[in-house]
Order: sequence, then structure tokens, then C-alpha cells
Amino acid sequence: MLSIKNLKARVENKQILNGINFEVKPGEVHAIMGPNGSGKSTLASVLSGRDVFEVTEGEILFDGESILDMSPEDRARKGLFLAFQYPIEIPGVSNANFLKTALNEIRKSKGLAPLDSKDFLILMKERMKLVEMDKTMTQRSVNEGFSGGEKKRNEIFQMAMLEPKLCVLDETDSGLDIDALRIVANGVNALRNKERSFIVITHYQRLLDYIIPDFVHVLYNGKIVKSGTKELALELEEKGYDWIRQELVVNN
Amino acid sequence: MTNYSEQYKSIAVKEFPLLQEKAMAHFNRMGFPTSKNEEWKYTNIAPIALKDFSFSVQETKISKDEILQQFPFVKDSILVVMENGRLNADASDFKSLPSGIEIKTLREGKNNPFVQKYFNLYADVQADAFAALNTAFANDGLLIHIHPKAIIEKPVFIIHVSSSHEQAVLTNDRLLVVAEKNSSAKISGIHVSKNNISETFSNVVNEIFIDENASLEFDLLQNENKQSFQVCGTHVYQSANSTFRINTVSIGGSIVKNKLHIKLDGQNAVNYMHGLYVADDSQLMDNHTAVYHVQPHCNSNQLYKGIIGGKAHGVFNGKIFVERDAQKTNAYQSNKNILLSDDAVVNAKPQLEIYADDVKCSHGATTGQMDEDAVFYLRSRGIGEDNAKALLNVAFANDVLNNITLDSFREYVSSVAESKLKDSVK
Repeated sequence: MLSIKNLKARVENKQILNGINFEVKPGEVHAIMGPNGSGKSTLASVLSGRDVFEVTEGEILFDGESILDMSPEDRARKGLFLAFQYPIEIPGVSNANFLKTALNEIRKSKGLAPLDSKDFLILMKERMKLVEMDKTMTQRSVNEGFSGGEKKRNEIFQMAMLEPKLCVLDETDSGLDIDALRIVANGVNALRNKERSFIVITHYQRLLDYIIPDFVHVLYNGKIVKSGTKELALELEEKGYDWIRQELVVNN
Repeated sequence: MTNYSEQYKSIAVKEFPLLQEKAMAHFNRMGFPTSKNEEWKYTNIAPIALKDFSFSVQETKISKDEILQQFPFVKDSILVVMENGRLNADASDFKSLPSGIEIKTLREGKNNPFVQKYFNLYADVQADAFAALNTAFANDGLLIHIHPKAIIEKPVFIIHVSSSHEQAVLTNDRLLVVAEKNSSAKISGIHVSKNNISETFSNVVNEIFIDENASLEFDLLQNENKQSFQVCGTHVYQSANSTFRINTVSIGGSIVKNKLHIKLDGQNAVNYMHGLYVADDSQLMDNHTAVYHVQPHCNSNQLYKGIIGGKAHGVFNGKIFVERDAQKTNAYQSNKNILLSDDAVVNAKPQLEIYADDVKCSHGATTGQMDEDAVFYLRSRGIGEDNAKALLNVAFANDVLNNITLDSFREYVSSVAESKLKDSVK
């Protein structure tokens, strides 16, 4: 589904990604862990098409097609979704209007007729349950005045509405208390299936108790330095990121 | 150039001869303002001053069906259609008015004591050349008189249609509104061109008198074609405990200049002044407001927002005067602009003059670009770039448009603004 080959990227003159390689197959959940400044969020931004980052080398293939020259909206229409670490507040645009516009643009790109208001409402009601979202939230402006937990739930709700093929969760657990974390994780788990893949970017192992990954990668200085299964996350939690640093020193 | 004196002399019957004579003399003395005049510093009206306008109006006669087709929401309302400043009675619908409201031409109403008292009381023909010109030619204006205690549920729509044939046409639109004690009404004016090729100059003067405990909403949609000029002076007098709301939405026109003067001359009077201007190409949109707090315990609230693209130019100048006796005044003013292109310009100037010591006044002006983070967020959900920007701009505009309390009209104005934001404003 997703194939990242020797990906290098920089912002202004600062090189942040130094040759990332990994592959995600349909239905897989990959966790990417790493200390602060290792390039986790940059990877998420580059995948979503944020143009402040310049890809200097490498390739990203999504369903076999290079997406590097694609606009963010075209990537989204192809089925890529980024749950933001810091969701943006958009005063004056209601959640419902926002999602209806997004959903219908995605449908249009697939040659499907737009959903009418009634079908849209039915879909929205159904998907709201996944993240235990309050009805009033759909009429409120996108993320405006939402608590940290509500914002993250709203990201997962959007994901549930837009039904992407590949979901990138950028530190979705940051700033969440344990109840909100459970709700968000339940939402994600409900969306897991044989086709849909996830890249879960996180600093802490905590989230991975709820969203069990198939693979765990450790990102350090813009490179994946270690890959394994879910046990790697536990080991990291126990030994800390210094363990990785020391290992690297020893290996070099 | 137009020979205004000759045009004036050729008026067959002058309805207010003394006043008109005086106004014409003032206009001749002043001439059109230039950019040396502080009030006109950023708004070059040479294209108006140099133009040779015709005053003769060809009878074009729009039908009521055409009006209803273009403005379906005016059905079942009190409808006045003005074509090039003259009443089109056939297209209008105000024969069977609810009790408590009177609508007449000034010609018919010239002996009405309210017309005698208030006509030209607030428009300043001595200092304002456009008001002077309007008054000199004000034969065909309109009177709306709301009687004491009348609660007029039906909205009033005045649709001004401007058109020209071979020569550019100047229209002097005049409106006098008298809202008597304890009355309530909503009046909306819509300015449109008959077609895209007409060249017109609408010189508009609205005078509004609001007596004690009365409430009035006055909304304006300026959506004439891209060659047209409009100078619109609105002069409002508020008595004690009165409420006035005005929403001025500028979409069309080559040069649009609005002047809004409000005098709060009774305790506990409140007003809400909202404006939206959406400009592109080389449009020039200028809003000058002035609020005079004369009596204590009054509130004034202003929010003007501009979205400027292309090589367009927005101007906002808002003055708040608080006189010595106007203690416990609350006066707020906010002007926010978004520039969509490198060539778009805004000049914003708030001005406060406060002579009372126990008041709350605040003002602020901001000008910025689109929020790129918000644009990216929308795009990351599959919304195309143009659509994303339009959605954000509409949200920005809705802060103003949401103050239009007539649902059907608000939806219409919103759709007009939205389609301009989607199609052309970049």
C-alpha cells in the first residue's frame, strides 16, 4: 500500500529526514517511535503533502503511484489521512459543513454522486458513536474552543467519515487523559480492517497498549534505526531512548 | 464632464425649490472633493468627476416577474422597485400595506409634516458635495413613515435597478425613514445594475430618524456591475432607548464609497454597525463611519470586515466622538481585513475623540493574509485549494452577515458573497 524509499527531506536548510525506508501492507499497523526531534512529525507532514518541507531525495509510492508531486487534496482523495498532532481551529465553519464538503469532494474525485443531506446526517450519526461524540459538536465550528481531547476525537471522527485507506496518526495520544485515550483508541480499533492500514506516530508506548501494532520502528536522527514487533515498544519504554543512542554508538 | 448647473436648470418642476436651490449653490461652490480632502485621501473619485453623465432616464420598466425571479425572497414582503431613482409602481407591491406604515414618494409626501421637519435635516449639504448634489436633484425620493407603536413584521425591500443606454447615467437616490416612538421595522436596500454593460453612478442619500424606544434594522446590499459608481451617505439620528442596526455589504461596483453618520442623542440608545466589503480586480471600496455619542449611557458597536484580492483597494475610516456629557458610553469598533494578493491594499484608520472621563471605548484594526495552516488542514481532508480558501473567507464574512436578522435575505446575501469568493476573488 505504502512504500517509502530512501526518503530525505529538509525544512529551509535543515536536513530532517535522512533516508527512510519502510513498507506498509494493507491492514497493517505500524508504530513509529522516537525521541523528540527525531523527525516523526516531519515524516507525517511530508506524507500529507505539507509544502514547507522539501523532499530532496527518495520516493513515496502510495498504491504503486508516486505521490510526491501530488497536492494535499489529491493525496486525501486517494485515501491518505493525517490525524494532526495539533488540529487547527476554524472559526465560522461548522464541523458538519466541513465534513460534508470534504466527503463530497472525495466522492466527486471517484466519480460518485454527492451524498444528500439526509444520507450525510445518517452517516454522521453512526460514525459519531465510534468516538462517543456529542451531537452538538457537529454544529460547532471546527475545533473552535474544543478541549485537547475533543480535538483528537474529532480527528478520529473525521477519519471515520472519510474512510481513508491509510491513516497516519501524529502523536494522537499527546495531551490526552486516560479516558480520552481509551475513547480515541477504541475509535481507531473500530476502523481497523483487512484493507485499512495505520501509521501510528508516538513518543510513548502507552498508546500502543490500546492500539496494538504489527510492527514498531524506531526513528532517530531522521532514519529508522531499529524495527521489530510490539515487544520493541515495551523494551523502549523500559530502557528509554538512551538505549538506542548507546546501541548506535556501539555499532558505529 | 457633466454641466451640473445646466442639468439643474432643466428640471421642470422642483418639489423643494428653496432647498434645492441652496443645495445646488453649495455644490457649485464646493465641486467634487479631491484627494487633498482628508476624508477622500485614499479614494480617488476623478473617474466620477470627469464623466459626462446623462440625467435623462429612459423608461426601461422592469416587470415584477423579473424582480421576483431574481430575488425570490422578496415575495410576500413590502416591495418597492426604483429604476434609476424613480419609482416603478407596476413592479412594486406596497398598495395594501399593513397598518402603521406609510410609503410614498417625496413628491406625494412633501406636505407630510415629518417630511417638512426631517427632510435634509441630517444630510450636510454645506460640507458634503455628494449630499448637496443629491438634494439639488431630489425630486423622486422615497418616504417611509412608521407610525407610533407600529410593529411591522413584514420586511420592506427597496430594489434599486440602475441602467444606461448610450450615455452614462447619474441617479440621485433619496430615502427618508421616520420611525416614530415604540415602532419596529426592517428595511433592506438592494442596489443592482440592469445588465453588465450599463455605466451608472448612484449617488445615494439615506436619512433615518429613530424616535424613542423605536427599533430599526437597515440593511444594504451593493451589488451593481463592475463599471458602476456608488456614493452612499447614510445619516442616522437616534433618540433615547432606540436601537438601530445596519449591515452594509459591498460586492459590486467600480468605486463604492459609504459614509455612515450616526448621532446618539438620547440616553440608552444602542446601535450595531456591521459592514462587509469583498473586492477584487481594481475595485475600490471605502467605508467611512462616524458615531457621535452626545448623551450618556449609549452603546455603539462596529464590526467591518474586508476581503481584498486582485489589485483592489479597501478603505476603512471609523470615527468615534464622545462628548463631555456622554458619560458611561460604551463604544466598540473593530476592522479586520484579509488581503488575498500582493497587489491588494487596505488603508484602515480608527479615530477616537473622547471628552468624557467615564467611558469604555475600544478600537482595533487588523490586516493579514489567509491562515495557511487552516488552508492546509482543509486540503488535507480532500477539499480543493480554491474551495478551501472560499470556505475560510465565507466563514470570515459570516461574522458580519450573521447580523442580518432576516433569514431569507441573509441567505441571499451570503450566497452572493460566496459565489464572488469562489469564482473571482483571488
